[in-house]
Amino acid sequence: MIKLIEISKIYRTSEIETMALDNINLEVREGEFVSIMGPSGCGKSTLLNIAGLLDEPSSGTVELHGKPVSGLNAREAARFRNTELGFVFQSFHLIPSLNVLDNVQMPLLYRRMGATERKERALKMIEAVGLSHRVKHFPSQLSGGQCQRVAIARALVGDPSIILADEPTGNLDSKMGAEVMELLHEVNKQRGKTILMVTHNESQAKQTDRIIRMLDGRIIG
Amino acid sequence: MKLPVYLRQSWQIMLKNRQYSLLYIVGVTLSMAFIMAFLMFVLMASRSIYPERDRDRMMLIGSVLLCDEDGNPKLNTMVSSRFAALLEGAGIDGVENTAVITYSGLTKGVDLEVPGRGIVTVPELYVDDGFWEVCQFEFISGRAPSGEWNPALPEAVLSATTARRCFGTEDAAGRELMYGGTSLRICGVVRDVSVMAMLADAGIWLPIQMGREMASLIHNEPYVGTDMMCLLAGSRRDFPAIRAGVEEVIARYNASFGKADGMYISPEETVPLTYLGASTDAHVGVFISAITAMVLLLMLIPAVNLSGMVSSSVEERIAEFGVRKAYGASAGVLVKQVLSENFLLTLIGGLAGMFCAGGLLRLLSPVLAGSKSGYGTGVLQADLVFPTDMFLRVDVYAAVFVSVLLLNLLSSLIPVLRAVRSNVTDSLNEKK
Ligand SMILES: Nc1ncnc2c1ncn2[C@@H]1O[C@H](COP(=O)(O)OP(=O)(O)O)[C@@H](O)[C@H]1O
Ligand SMILES: [Mg+2]
Repeated sequence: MIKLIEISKIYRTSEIETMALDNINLEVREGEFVSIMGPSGCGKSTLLNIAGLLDEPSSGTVELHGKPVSGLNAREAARFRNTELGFVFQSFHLIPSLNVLDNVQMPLLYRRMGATERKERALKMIEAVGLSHRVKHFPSQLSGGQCQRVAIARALVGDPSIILADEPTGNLDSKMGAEVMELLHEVNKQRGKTILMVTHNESQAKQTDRIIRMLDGRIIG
Repeated sequence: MKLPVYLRQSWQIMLKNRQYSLLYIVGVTLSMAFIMAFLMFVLMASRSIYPERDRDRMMLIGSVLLCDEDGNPKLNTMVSSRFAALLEGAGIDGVENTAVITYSGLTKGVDLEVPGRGIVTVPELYVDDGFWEVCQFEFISGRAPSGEWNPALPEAVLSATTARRCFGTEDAAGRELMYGGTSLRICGVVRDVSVMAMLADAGIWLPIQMGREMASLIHNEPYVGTDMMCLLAGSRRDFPAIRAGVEEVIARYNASFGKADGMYISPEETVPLTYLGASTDAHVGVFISAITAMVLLLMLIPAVNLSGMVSSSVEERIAEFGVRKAYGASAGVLVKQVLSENFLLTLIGGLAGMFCAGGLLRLLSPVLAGSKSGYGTGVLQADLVFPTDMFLRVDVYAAVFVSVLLLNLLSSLIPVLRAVRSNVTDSLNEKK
């Protein structure tokens, strides 16, 4: 499903070069829920961004669904992200000027789909994350946990096969974090989505199928 | 994604960011209103306007300076009828036509008695036959006065508004009304004249003979008068020759009275000729252009302020563009979205700006009218109509709207292009 082959990423600024990823090999199977752990700055986000086609590796190949995707141009990559990938961020990244419904429908705006169907699908997803009573609310009127549930609904609305979550509970207290984890497990079990998640929480990581530990841009176990 | 989707989203974003949208719209409104009001003022004051189509060839003698024997200024007055007659008869080289306009100067308009309608008060001008040649009026009904003076039934011309007020129709040629016990025959009705006209603004134009009668009761001829005179040159190149010709007439005029009453039209200061048309005199033209440019720049400040606001608001949304890109938005789609948002807000502000500019002009018009040369204007402006076709200068409005729109689109385009060009992760990490 997700296959990273000999991936390296070097960030170059005028003064320093940072080896963010150093020859990474990783395979995630379809339907698997995998967590990535490691100290801050070890390259977890970089890895997730490269797997999610948000960033390009300096060398190596990314395969998704068994096809190499490293060579896609910007337009093709955008299409691929739109249909096959869902993103959940630590800081939610909801659009503050749009209400819950419009935030959730947003990915569908970038594909060919009528307004009625967009709205139906978004409402169904909002219901699935338990926020039907908050459809017209704006992000500023929601708790952090609710925001992250909206973000998960947005990640799911396009029916992608892969969800990439970068510290999805990092900004939440433990109770709301637990709710979000429960939702992600449901997404994985009931909907069969493949999930790759970065976390700092050992007990959350232990509930997933597999833990990948990183240090200084390398996988150490 | 189709246009309605953009506009619907833009509408929502506008409603959500009420404070910003309001500021934006007010900004556009004020910028446009100020720029437009100013531009119109400049256009009206410097360019030919109806019915003064040949302003660039007109020389206006609005006032004369009277001096004592030693050349000390004593009095500033309008042109006397004798001096006007002398000028008219002098046959100065280069003068194609002359117009004499006289102001009764004392009334607040004239009271017209209309059979069946009572009294209608309108601002008046007394004009000679040349006036109808020098100015190019559009007649809605009838024609200019025939030029034959008939004291029993003088001919008068009405503005369209006055005709409606008096007769309920603009088609009033041939009708009669009473003024000061005399019957007047309306020979023609003309399109309304703007208050920005230098010579020609009135509600009724009466034969100059009627004005003479009134003036002779009030004024102290031969020096003091109530006339304004317009010399229409064949071309602007004739101006220096005409000025020299006027000097000669002044010398003759002064000589004809001797020193008896100790008043002279000053031979040095002579008659201040007001040149219409900004660039008639090179240095005057440069001065006016410079002032225009400076004021226009000042007027642009709100527009530039606004563009700064637009730019920083787009700047703040770079993370939003990052998420949209992560979810598949192409650069083109994002650019279109931002442009449509700004287009919507500018459009709303632009429409509001048009009405505000109208109001502003209406508010300023007495000031503008009062700044015209000549004595009578203070009285004349009292009751003047303000023709709406003046605000509906579509060309001016469109030009200002397009420049404000371009400025706003540009100031949103630069940050949005930066956002869509940088990679997604950089946009996402942008601090809000
Ligand atoms: N855009 C960038 N430019 C330069 N260096 C970067 C950039 N993004 C990340 N890095 C560096 O790459 C390394 C890995 O970063 P990251 O993947 O964000 O770590 P993690 O998510 O594990 O905390 C860090 O040393 C970080 O400073
Ligand atoms: Mg990170």
